[in-house]
Amino acid sequence: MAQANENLIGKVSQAMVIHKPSLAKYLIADDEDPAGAPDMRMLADMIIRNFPWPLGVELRRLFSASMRQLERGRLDQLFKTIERTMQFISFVMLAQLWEEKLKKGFEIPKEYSDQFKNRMNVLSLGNYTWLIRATGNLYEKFEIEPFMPEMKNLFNKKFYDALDFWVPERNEISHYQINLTDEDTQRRCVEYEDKLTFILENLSFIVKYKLVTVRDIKVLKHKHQEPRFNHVMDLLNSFDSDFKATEITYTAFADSNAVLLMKDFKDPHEFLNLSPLIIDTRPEIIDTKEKFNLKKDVFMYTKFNGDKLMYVGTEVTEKCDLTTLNNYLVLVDQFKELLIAFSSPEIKA
Amino acid sequence: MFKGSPFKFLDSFTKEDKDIFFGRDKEVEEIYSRVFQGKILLVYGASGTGKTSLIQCGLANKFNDADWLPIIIRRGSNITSAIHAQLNNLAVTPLKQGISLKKSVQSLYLDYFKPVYLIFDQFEELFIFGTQDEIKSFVNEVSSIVKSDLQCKLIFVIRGEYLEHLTVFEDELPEFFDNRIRIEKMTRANAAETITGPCDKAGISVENGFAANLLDKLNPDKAEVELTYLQVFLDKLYKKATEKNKGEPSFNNTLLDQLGNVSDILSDFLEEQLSKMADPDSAVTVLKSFVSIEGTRKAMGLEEISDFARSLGKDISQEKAKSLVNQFVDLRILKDRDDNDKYELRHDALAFKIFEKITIVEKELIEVRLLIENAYKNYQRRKVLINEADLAYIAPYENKLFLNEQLKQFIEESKRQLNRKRRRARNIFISAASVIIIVLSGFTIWAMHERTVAEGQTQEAEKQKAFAVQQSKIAEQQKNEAIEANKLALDEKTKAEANAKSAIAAKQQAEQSKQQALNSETIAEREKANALTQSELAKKEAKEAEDGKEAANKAESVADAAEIKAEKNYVLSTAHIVGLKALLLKNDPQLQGLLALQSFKSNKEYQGNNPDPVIFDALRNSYINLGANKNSSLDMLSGHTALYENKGRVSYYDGYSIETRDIFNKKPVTFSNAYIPIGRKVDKVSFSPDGSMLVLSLDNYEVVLYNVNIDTSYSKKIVSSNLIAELLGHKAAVRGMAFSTDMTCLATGGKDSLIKIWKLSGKDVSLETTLQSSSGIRSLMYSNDGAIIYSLQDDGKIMLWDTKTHNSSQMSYQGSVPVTFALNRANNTLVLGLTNGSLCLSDLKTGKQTIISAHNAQVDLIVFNHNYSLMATSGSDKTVDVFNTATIETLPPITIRDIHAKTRNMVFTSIDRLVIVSDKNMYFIVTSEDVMANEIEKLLKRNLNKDEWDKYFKDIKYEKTVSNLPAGNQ
Repeated sequence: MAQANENLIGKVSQAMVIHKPSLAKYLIADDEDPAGAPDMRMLADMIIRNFPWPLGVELRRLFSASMRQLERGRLDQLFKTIERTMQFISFVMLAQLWEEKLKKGFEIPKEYSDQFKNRMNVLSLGNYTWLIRATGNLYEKFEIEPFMPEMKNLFNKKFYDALDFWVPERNEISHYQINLTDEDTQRRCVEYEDKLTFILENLSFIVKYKLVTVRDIKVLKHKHQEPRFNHVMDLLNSFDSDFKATEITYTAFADSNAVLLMKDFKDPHEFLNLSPLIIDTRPEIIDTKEKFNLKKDVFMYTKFNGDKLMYVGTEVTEKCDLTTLNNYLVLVDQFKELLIAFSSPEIKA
Repeated sequence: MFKGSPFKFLDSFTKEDKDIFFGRDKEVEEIYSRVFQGKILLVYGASGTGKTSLIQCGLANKFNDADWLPIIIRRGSNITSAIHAQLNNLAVTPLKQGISLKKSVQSLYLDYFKPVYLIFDQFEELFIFGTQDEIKSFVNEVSSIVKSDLQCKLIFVIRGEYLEHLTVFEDELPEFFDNRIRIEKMTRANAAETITGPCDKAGISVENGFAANLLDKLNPDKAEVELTYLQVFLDKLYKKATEKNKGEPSFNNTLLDQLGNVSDILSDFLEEQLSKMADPDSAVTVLKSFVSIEGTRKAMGLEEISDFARSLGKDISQEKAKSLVNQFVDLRILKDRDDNDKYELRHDALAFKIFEKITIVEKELIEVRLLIENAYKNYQRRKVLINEADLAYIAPYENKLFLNEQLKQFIEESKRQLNRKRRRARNIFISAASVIIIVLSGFTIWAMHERTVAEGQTQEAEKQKAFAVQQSKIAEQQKNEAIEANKLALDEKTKAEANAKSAIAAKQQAEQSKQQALNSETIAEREKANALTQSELAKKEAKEAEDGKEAANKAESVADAAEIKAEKNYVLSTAHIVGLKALLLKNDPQLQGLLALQSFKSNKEYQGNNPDPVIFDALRNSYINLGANKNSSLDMLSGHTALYENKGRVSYYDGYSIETRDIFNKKPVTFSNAYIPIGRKVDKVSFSPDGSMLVLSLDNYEVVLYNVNIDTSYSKKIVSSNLIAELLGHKAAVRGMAFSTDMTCLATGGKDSLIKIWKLSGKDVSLETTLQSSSGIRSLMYSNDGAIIYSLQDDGKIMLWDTKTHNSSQMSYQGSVPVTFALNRANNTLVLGLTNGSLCLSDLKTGKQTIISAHNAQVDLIVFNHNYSLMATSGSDKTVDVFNTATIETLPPITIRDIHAKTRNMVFTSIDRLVIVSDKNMYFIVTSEDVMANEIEKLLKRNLNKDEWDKYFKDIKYEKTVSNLPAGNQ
C-alpha cells in the first residue's frame, strides 16, 4: 500500500483494538515475516469491516488505489469521509435526543429550536458540526446518558475544535475560491489525513456497536407457549454491501423495516431507530414498473424541500428518487414529526 | 469537439466512448440498478444487440473510479486459465502459484480496495469450446466466490440462444437466474439518437429527416434496428461525407441516395473488401478459419490458420497467412493480435456472414479435423488414442485433410494400437482354446484314474455292507428295549398327571378356603365395627369391645399411612402442575419465581425426584427471567472450541487463541490470550486432561501439539503457549485424539483408518506404533490404566486395542449405531451415544448393557463432571440432558432446551456448572436446583397472597415461600 493512509490505518486500528480486543490478532505480524510489520492491507480491511457501513464504504474509497495519489481526488474523498462521519454521528445523537424528549418531555431551548429547522432542511458540513455541538450541549443540560456512553468524552472543546476545522477548509476548496498548486494539494492531503485520523481515533468506540437493518419481524406462537419474534436482519458493519441476512429469535421485538443501532446483537431492547434519517431500501420488493430503477442501498437523509425527502446513497453515488418506496409517506411523516419536536412553535414543519 | 469518426464500425463501445454512446439510457439505468440486487447479473440477448457496449461503456461510466474494478474475461483456450491470467496482470501483490480463484480475488481487492467486477463477455464460448471438466471446475469456482463474503460481483454476458446451458450452475447456485436482464434490439426512436447524437458531438451537420430515411433504408418495415449494420452503414456514410467535405462533413438525403441499396450491408462490405484483394480465394479461406462450427467467431494464431487452410485443401504458408491477416486488421474485419498472439473477427455478425460461405463438404472436413484435434488434446492429457469407430469415420477424409506431422503420427499410432488390440484378441482366443484342450485331456486322465479307484472302493463297500447288516440287527434289539422303556415312562406320566389333578383340586380347595376367610374377614370387620358401636352403647361385652377397639386402631393407622401417602402424592402432583404453569408466566417474573420456588420446596419436602425435570425447567425459566442469568453467556468467535476448566476459570481455544475467563464471580473478564499461529484450518482440537497441552488436527492431516501454560492467578499475562511437536503421518483428516490418564501417551486416529500411538516425554514426542483398523476412526479413548485404547469407527464398530500386544477385539453393544462415546472412570462404564438419540450403558466389568432414552435425534457429545456423579449429553435436537449417574436407570434427566443451537463442546466446572459452547455463544448453566432456588429466593420481593395460593395450591396449607419476607396479603 502506498504511504498515504498508513498513518491513519495504524492509529485507528490501534484505537479500535482498545474497544474490541478480539481485533488484536490483526496487529500480529504476517506468518511469513514474524519480525516484520503487520499486513497493512489486512488492517485497512479490518477498519472497513468494523466501522458502520456508511463510514466503512467511504474509508474503502479513501483506501482505494484511485485515491492514493496526493491529488485533488483524494482531497475530495477526505472531505467526503469526514462529512459522512459527522452526518452519521449527528444522526445518532438526534435519534436519541428525540427518544429522550418523548420519554421525559423536556422543553427544547429557544436557541436550538430557532435554528433547527433551517439547518435540517438542507444539511451540509457546517450544519453537521452545529448539530453535534448543539445536541451535545443539550445532552449535558438535560443530563442525558448517551446511547454510546463513550460519546461523553467527545463533548469537549478539543473535539469540537477538530470538527470546526473542516468547514472553512471546505468552503475554501470545494467552492474553488482558490486555485491549488500541486504542492498545496499534497500538503493539504497530508494535513487532512492527520485531522481525519484524530477524529476517527476518537470515534473508534463505535466498533462496539452494531448497525443493523431489520427487514422483517415474524411472530412465532405455538400452542400453550409464549410468543417469540423472529427478526430477519442484516448486519451493516461489513465491507460488502451484499449483507448476509441473519435470523434471530427473541422473546421481545425491536422496530421493523428500519435501520437500528444496537448495543448488543442478541438483545432487542437497547437500540436506536435511525429512521427517517438513515434508511435501507434493499428490503423493498420491486413489484411495480415505477420501481424498476429504484436503487437498493443504504441511504442517508440530506434535504427536505417541497414535502420531498432527499437522500444520498452510500454505495450508489448518483441522486436517486425514492418516492416510489412503499413507506415513503411514512418517512415524510416521521421527518415532519422530527421537525416539530425540535423546532420553535412559530416555525411550521 | 470529438475528432475523427464518431462511429464504432464493428467495435464495442468502451468507457472512453462515453461522449458518443447514445440511445441506451434506459437499459444502462436498469443494469446499474440490477448490479446492486445480487452478486450475479445475467445479461443476455441476441447477437448484435450491444450487450458488451452496455456493460463496458454504459455501466462502466455509472461508477466512480474508486467503486469499479472491472476484469473482462474471454475464455481463450481455457476459462480458468483466462481468469487467472487477467488477475495476475492486475495484481500488485504477486499471487502465489496455484491459489484458488477466491483467494486471488481477495488479494486483488486488498490491493485496490475497489469492488471487483468479473465480467464474462461472450460467455457462450465456454459451452461451444469448453470441455465438461472445464465447465464443472468453473462452476465450482464461481460458487465459491458467490458464497464468500468477497466484495466481488459477477456479470455474465451471453447470447440468448445459449441461455439453457447455464442450468449447469443451478445445482450449486439456485439463485443463478434470479437477477437477469434481457437486452432487446434497439427501437427506431433510440436508433435515431445513435445517429444524431454522435454527429452533434463530432460537428457533422444532419439534414432534417435524414435519420428516419436512413433507418427506412436500412430496416424497411421493421420496428427494431440491427445495430451492427447501422454502425457499419454510418461508418460508410462518414467516409463518403468526409470525402466530399473533410472540414465540414454533412449527412444528407442526397448522400443517402448515392449509396444505393443497403439491405445486406455487411455481406456487401465483405464482398467489396474481398474483391479488392490480390488472392480472394485464399483470403476467404483465411476468414473461414475464424469461424467455429457453430457459426460463432473464434480466435486463431497464424500456425492454426495455415493448418486450417490445409484441411480445406489449400496450401497457405504462415507468411502468406500473416500478410492476409494484416490486411484484414487494416480493413477492420479482424481485431489486432492479442496477448496470446491470436486474432479474432471484430463481431459475431461477420462470423455469421462468413459461415454462410462455408460449403457442406468444407463443414464435414472441419468437423473431422475438429474431432482429430480434440482427440489429440485428450491424448495429450489422458493418453487415450482414437477408437475404432472414429478411425472408421475419419478414414474417407484422411487424404483430404493435410494434417501436420503430429496429428498424422497420432492417427498412425491409433491405428497401430487398434491392430495390436486385434492381434491380442486373436492371441487370447488361441491361448484360451489351447488351455481348454489341455484341461479336457487332464480331465480324461483323471477320470480313468478315478474309475480304478472306484472299483477298489466298491469291494470295500461290500465289506462295509456286511458289517452294517450286523450292526442293524443290534440296533433292532436296542429299539425293542427302548419301546419297553417308553411304555414305563408313559405309565409314570399318567401317574404324574393324576397327581397334578389332585394338586389342582387341592389348590381350588385352598382358594375356596381363602375366599371364605376373606368373607369371614369382611364379616368380622363389620362385626367388629358393630361391636365397637355396641361397646359404646352397652359397655357390657367388654372382651368383644376390646377386640373391636384394637381392630379400629389398626385400621386407623393404615388409614393414616394412606392419608400421608395420598397427601404426598397430592402435593407432588400439585408441585408438578404448578411448575408447568410457572413456565407460562414469563411476563410476571415475580409470580413465576414464587411458583417455581414453592413447587421446588414442596417437591423437596415431600421427597420428590431430585432433580426433577419439570421443577428444573420451572426454576431455570424463572432464574433467567429474574435476571439471575446475566453474564451467563459470552459471544464467541466462530472456531473450533476446546474447553478446559480449573477452579472456576474456563480456558478455551476459539480457532485463533486461548482465552481464560473467570465464571465464579459472574464477571466475564478476559484476562489475556495466547495466540496460536496455526495458519491452517483446524479440524479437531482438544485439551489434555490437566489442561497443560492442546492438541489440534489440521486440514493438511498434521497433528500439532502445544504446551499451554494456564496460570489461574490474576496477573495480566496469564496464558502462554508454544509448539511442542508436529505429528506427521496421517493420510486423512484426524478426528480422534486421546491422552492417556498419566499423560505419557497420545493416541491419534483418523479417516485413514490408522491409529498412531505417540510417546510423550516432556518436549520429546516419538511415534511408538501405528495400528491399522478396518474403518475410519471417529473417536478414541484410553482405559483408566492405559492398557486399552477404545476406538469408535465409521462402520459403527467399537474396537478394544491392547496397547502392549497391539491385538484388537470387537466390543458388542445394543441399540442403533454409536456416533460418540465416553468412559465413566468411576464405575468403569462405557457410555455410547447412538444415532437414534438413546444411550447404551455398557458395564465393562460385568458386561451388562442397558439402553436409556435421552434425545430425539442423534447424540453428539457426552461429558462427565469431575467426580463422575453427573453426566451431560448433547443431541442434534439442540437440547442438553444432565443425568445423575447414580440414578440414571431409574430417574429421567433434566433438560436444557434454550440453547437453540447445536452444542460444539461442554465441560463441567468444579462446582458442577455446565459450560456449553454453541456456534456463537458460550453458556454457563447452573445444573443444581438448590443453587437456582437460593438465587431465586434472593431476587423475590414478596410472597404469594392468599388468592394466588388458593389458585395454585388449593387444599394445601399456606406457607411463606420466601421465609424472610412477610406473608402475602389477602
